[in-house]
Amino acid sequence: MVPLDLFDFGFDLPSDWEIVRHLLTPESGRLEFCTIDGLVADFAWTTTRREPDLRRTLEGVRRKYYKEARNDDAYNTFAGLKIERIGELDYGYDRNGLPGHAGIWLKERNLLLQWFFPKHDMAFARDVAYPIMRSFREWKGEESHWSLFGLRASLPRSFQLTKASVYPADVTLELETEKKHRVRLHRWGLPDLMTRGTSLENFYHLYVMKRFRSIVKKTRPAHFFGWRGAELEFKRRGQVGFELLYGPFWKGVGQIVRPDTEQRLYAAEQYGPRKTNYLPFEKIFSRLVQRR
Amino acid sequence: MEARQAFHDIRSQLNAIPVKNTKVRVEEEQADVMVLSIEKKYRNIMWLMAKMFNLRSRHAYKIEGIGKDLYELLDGETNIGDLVGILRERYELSFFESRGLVMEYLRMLTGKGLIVIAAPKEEAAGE
Repeated sequence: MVPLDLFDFGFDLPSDWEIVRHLLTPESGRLEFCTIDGLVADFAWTTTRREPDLRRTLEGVRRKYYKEARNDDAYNTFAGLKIERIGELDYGYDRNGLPGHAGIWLKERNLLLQWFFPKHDMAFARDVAYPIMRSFREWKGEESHWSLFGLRASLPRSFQLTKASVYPADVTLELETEKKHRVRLHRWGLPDLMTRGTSLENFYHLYVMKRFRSIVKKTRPAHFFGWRGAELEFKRRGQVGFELLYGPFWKGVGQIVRPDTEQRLYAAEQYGPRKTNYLPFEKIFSRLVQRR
Repeated sequence: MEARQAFHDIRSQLNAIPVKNTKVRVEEEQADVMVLSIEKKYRNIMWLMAKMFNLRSRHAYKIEGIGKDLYELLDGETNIGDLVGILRERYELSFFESRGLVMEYLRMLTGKGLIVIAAPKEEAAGE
């Protein structure tokens, strides 16, 4: 099982599931999971004004699904979902071979989480769906965790996701606080190819300079978790609105590490207005060590 | 249209076989760099212009590193699934990461006319 943690909640998912489509905003979003055999699950969240009637919501979605799938037989004979409480979620199903559907409403965030599994049968429910439901967790402490696209990071809860760019073996998540402390997290694959003909410091220096369009002041080798890495200091125009070209320079720090245990590079750049306290790199990626 | 749809599901896509264009010439080969060239086709009036001004008659492409490794694996038998598996194993990538990289690379080679994607023999015979 691999963790999926985003915003303030999380699940454990089968390790061969991968996200192939995503829409990530705190208010509403969707993740589509596939394996080599095709779609296996669809996870969506949406903000609601008040507590929804979960049964009615699940059944409404189901009716709509049957109608859109032109499954007249299922639509005409649909008499409601059989709903079971698994962990903290309600799991609803109609009959074997038709979709399974689960949901939970998070009171504190006014957020409705919904899982959609294209094909339900009891074996699938027992082996896959129920363990996912049981693994549900809500982060309520000072820290929030992010486990997405293979990237695992821990940040204070004040950080909100602002951007995610996901390409094969190249994942970047951008988060920021209300005070504009910004963090960019990276996970790259193919480290041998990316650093071919150059050193890790030089690769990262060039990345921050050219791709992140910043002025790099100092780069030096470093070690994180006992692994080889590099750190640098940079500055770039602080941007809150449209002042990208004339705003004051904000200082920033960047760190990169190449774990010995996997063929990946992990990096984090932080920058913000004056008096920003940067987070220790080891704290952000503390869950890298747990994976060892 | 049917042939296009046949590649839409993941497994049939993985069974497809990339085949090198026989008209591609290897101009130069080193340890991790290879230069390939293919005949350049001028159309309509450009053909006449090319003759008159002696424009270049071949396009050259330099492939290196992982791109060269993948190109060398194309023997008319290795299918896309094999390439995905090799890349996945060698670089510890996930299935969809590896598939994404391979498909993007093959799309690029196809666009340049260096390879074509063929249906596996059984499927072709079935049609």
